Amino acid sequence: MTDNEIIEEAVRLVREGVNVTLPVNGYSMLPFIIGGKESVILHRPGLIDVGDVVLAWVDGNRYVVHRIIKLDYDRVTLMGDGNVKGTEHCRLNDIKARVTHVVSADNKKRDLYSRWRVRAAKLWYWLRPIRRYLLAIYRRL
Amino acid sequence: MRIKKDFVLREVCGENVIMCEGLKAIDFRKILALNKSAAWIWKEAQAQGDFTVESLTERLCEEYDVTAEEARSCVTELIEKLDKEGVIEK
Repeated sequence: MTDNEIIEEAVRLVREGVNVTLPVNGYSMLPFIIGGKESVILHRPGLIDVGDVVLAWVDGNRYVVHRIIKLDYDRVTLMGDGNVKGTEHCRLNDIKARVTHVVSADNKKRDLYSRWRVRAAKLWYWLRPIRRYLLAIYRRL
Repeated sequence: MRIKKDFVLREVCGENVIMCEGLKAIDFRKILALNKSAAWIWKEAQAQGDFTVESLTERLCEEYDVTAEEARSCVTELIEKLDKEGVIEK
């Protein structure tokens, strides 16, 4: 099975109302989600908003788990927390699931939208110009 | 031995996979692909409820044209794999 086939099955189950725990790869959501080590819990998208982390089919060619940075009616702009530039675009109906929690390798679950994490995510967004340096430090820790 | 109640066999994209399914939650971290004969053994193990290597070997010999030795090896290999993944309760 390819990654896309697995994700599509996860999307189908989410649509049925099942909460899916899905491992994620890559470092594009650092420091909030550590790919290769952590998993995300996916729920039906419901009412999504800027700041939400979602599973989306973007630019008509791939799935990503990234954060919404702009909502303009039906147009959604996303960016990975671990990326220093580059955004993805999709329509509202390309948002397949909302990530509610992150599960660590030792099975500890954390809420992505606790008050301080929401604040941290906002701050992290404004730190884009220096993210490159902060991420370099983070990776060395 | 028994298969733990949260684990189910599903067909995903034409392949047989075992998933951990709670009441309204599925964990893709615990996903295990099975070939055709392993999927058959899984279904038989579920049908039997409380199964042993012997009971599955016997049924596999009845269903497929294999020797008892081949069947036992196949069953043992699958059970070891499932046990390692925490799918079986003894």
